[in-house]
Amino acid sequence: MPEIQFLLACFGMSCVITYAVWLRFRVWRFRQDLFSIRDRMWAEMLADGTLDDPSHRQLRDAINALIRLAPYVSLMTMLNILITRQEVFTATLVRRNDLPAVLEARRQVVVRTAKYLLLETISGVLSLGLFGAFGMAHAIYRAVNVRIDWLLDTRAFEEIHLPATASV
Amino acid sequence: MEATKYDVQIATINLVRQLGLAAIGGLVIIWLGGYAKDAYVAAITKPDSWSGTVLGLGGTVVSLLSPVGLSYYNFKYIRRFTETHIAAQIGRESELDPGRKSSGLASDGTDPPGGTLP
Repeated sequence: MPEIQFLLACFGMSCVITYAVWLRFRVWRFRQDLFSIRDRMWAEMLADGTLDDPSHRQLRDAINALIRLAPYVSLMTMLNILITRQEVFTATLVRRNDLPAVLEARRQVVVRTAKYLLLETISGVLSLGLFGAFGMAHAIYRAVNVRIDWLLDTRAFEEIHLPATASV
Repeated sequence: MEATKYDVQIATINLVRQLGLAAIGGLVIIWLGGYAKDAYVAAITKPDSWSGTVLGLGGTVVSLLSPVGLSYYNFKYIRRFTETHIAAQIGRESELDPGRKSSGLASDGTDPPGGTLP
């Protein structure tokens, strides 16, 4: 029936437009969640009187950088950071002695960022699905979590200063 | 702060990604639009078909309902949350913790003007 074909084509166009809107929307949601995690951590540190703890300051800086760079954070950029900036990581890697509130906030940031990368875009879902076909989806998800945690440790996100001509 | 070659790489990757997505999306929309047009013409020329107006309205609603709904939800809840919550938090934090650093976004949660990021 041509009526159904017409409506299905409209639905298809709707999906494409919705995905375009979603790509913007997910950045706002990601930033909102990071703001919430950062602010909850800050409130807990304030209550404990440990605002100036280095682990808190470092994680806050990393979250701020992630908030700022949210539109740029993708599987491709993460891969690029991991491959090209090896020497920076080895030079700046420090062992943590974080407070419990900071550890919990860090865990939440890692999980949220992994979700942002792998479950909120077609490319992420396809990648996960592809590895899932070989029974490796969980391993890949875990590996991405570990890499994000590592990047937070190495201050990689804070090191990024995008050129003025970059569009967001 | 000066952008390094790594920063330029990241900006370039993002630009290529955006252009690629826009190109793919544009091609799919053009293809679906052509398909919809042919189906619409076939439908309204059929003797026992729905009226062209009903079909056109139905197609418009189906096409726009979900992107408009998502945009509205974003504007109404997510953006408003960011604007009000962050504005309140900025005042409280700067009073109690003057040494803290911020994300660098504008106070309404948007990116700074001119595409520059601190």
